[in-house]
Amino acid sequence: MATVTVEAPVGLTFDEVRRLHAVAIHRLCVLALGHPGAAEAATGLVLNVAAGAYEVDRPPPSTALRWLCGVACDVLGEGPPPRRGRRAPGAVATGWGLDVDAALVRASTLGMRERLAAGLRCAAGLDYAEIGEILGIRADAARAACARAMRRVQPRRRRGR
Amino acid sequence: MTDPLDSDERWFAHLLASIPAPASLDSWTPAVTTHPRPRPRRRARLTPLALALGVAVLVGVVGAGLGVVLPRRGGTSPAQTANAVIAGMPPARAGAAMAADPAHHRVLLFAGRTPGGVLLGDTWSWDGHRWSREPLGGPPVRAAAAMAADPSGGVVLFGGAGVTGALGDTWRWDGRSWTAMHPSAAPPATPAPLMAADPATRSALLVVRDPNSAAPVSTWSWDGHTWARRPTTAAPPSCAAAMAADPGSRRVLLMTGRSCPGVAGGVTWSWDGQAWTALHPAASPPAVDRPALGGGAGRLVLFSPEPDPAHGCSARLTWTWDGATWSAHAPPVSPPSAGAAATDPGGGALLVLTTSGETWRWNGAAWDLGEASAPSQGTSAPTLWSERAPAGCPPARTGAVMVTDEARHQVLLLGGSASPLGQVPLVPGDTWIWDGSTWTQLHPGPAPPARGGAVAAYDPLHSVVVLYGGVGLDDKGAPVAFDATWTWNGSAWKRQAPKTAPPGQRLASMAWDPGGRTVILLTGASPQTAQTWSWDRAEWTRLHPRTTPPFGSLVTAPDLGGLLLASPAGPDGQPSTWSWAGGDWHRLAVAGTPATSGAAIAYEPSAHRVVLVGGDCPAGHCPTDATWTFDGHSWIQLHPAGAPPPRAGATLAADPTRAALILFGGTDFGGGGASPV
Repeated sequence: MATVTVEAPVGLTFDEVRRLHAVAIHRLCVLALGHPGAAEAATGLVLNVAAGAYEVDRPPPSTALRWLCGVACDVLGEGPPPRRGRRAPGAVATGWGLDVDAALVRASTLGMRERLAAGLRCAAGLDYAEIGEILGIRADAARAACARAMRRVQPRRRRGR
Repeated sequence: MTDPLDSDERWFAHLLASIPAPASLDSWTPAVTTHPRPRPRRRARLTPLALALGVAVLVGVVGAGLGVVLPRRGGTSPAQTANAVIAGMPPARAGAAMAADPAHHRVLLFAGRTPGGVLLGDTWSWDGHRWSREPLGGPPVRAAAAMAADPSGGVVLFGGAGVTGALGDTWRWDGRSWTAMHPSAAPPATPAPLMAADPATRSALLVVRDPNSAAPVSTWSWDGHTWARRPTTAAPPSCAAAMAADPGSRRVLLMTGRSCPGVAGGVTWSWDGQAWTALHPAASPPAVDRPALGGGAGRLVLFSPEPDPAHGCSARLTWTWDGATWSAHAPPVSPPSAGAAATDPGGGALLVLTTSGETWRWNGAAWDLGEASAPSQGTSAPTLWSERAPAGCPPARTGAVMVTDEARHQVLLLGGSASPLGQVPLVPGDTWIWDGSTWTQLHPGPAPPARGGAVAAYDPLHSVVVLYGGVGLDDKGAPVAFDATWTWNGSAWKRQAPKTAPPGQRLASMAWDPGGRTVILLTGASPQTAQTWSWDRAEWTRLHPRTTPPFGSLVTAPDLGGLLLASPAGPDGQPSTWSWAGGDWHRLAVAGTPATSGAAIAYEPSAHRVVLVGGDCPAGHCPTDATWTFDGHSWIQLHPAGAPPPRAGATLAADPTRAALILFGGTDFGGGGASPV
């Protein structure tokens, strides 16, 4: 009887990458877009783009999240911040709690670069060097972008710490 | 990570972690056309000319070619990023509003509530072939809004249940965007209004619960500019459940729901443009709260989402209105649930978006999936589940045994428990066969007593089904693990009398080993207590392999090496896949073995793969609806259309009459209403 071919798995399948990291990408999209429906749709678009690119790029498992975040940021892009103090059109009552709503409204006054940096840092847990590589900026600029984002999204009572 | 999060970042990370993942992430499948990756950004050292060229390439080639508007570098606000027209499928939702837009030859879908309870505010349009998400912006998020074709073109939307409660706003869709309307008169804010295009008056008809009226509901019409209340002498009750125009009579029909006291069936009301009339047809659909109602193939169609056992196993009825009465149809395949419905202006079919996000069409004779052609990841052949509604229907059960009887081209079903938890009461020791079209109960005389968790395998060498073990009740009514062996020859059961037998255990798995040409039995919950036995026509022989695997599900896979074992937990705690060869168990270096226990498993000969469906999560009592396949190299999770609801303890077997698998029974542990399923 022929036995099943025994092969060591080579990397992860895209479906495994998706199951491992799609939640982080969704949180990144929520922070970037501020709208549940837009974030859900954008996450689906990111996964579609990534599914097509995965067979070409074939990132090793250790860098799969960083790679997927790179795809997400390529899709989400970056743009100028909306007018200060004005609630972005995308930010809505999410139903996820007042803390989340308030943070998203505050985040909507940030530029897309700061929002992506904060998302890559706090939703995906990337290093500043990795964030800088994805956003095309230096690591210290990524650190500064994250710091600006953290100052902005903190509730007033937490600011100044 | 070399840079640990500081306290502020930890706080924000915890806040982001509280955001629930949408259900669409679990059910995500690649789009039919995969979007190419946009050009990744480089360090910002581009010249203005290069930047302009990059933008042109990105937007012009990628965006125009795929109908996807990608954000432009340095010139796009977050809102514009969200304003992308995205082809795909609407995420799963309930309480969506859907209406035909005849002026633009489309069906419009708006908002609803995700399975996680999040209100949506997205707009999708159906062009007869596929869904496209329209740019964001428009009415606030809500569920259960009312929507119908606007007499001045486009679609008009009213009310619904929003974040702050019932809404009373009016919006108009002009084919490209939403506009808030400010009519001089407006109906009261209401959480569940009903609206339909009124062919008699060429207006949109609205029915709302009206606390300011003596009648339970008030009737309004929209002429394209403002609302006008229609005085009526009679009015439907407040339990109205669905309303749509009848293409045949050009009247609007309204069906009442289950919350009407003292009425068993749904009551049909008719609006002729001037007044409401309660009809008394010879036959009526049962009262249900969320039917799908709309015109399809020239008739008014009502799809009831609840199975009707009187018409067969799991039969969901489709009703059509001929102008005088309702007629029931029991098509062999039906949507698994109801949802928003509208007439497709393109082909005249009734379009239904189920709560699980599937698009179904009724063409006048049968249901078909509108977008079932999305390829499942990792497989070339589309995979589709469809719920069958055969005339015969074994009682619902979990932990039954089902095996393909290859000699007689039948599937044999026996035993199981009627309890959601797989305990007493047990299903009586009945014997059922599936012949490819329906179930038939046999009465073969002496039969194995009632039991759950028994195992069985087909022995092609002797053309019999071998049944072993299971948990039943002894003479005093106490649970006992059986160790008896029975065989089925197609017409009768025979209790075997081997000299020795494996000890009765609560966990066992059994399958035919094509290499050794015997039936292999694996018992015991752990490697310490596990035993491997072989059955050779009349006797059991205990085998002593050098390696003992953890407990799992055995399956015969002739093209993949013979006998395989999928275990939700290996010696290292990780799920593992094993093969039986040369008198020993071998752990295979394959990725992605599912971690679910109590899954249904079978070999699909036509696709040369093992299929594993459902099962319980490691924490227990959280069944899944996942469908996995194993092709000899790796496990891949499919996302087939029409997947059955989550369940554990189901049974799966190859249908010997066609290239298909049969799934039956299982339990949702009481969490899904009807349990066992």
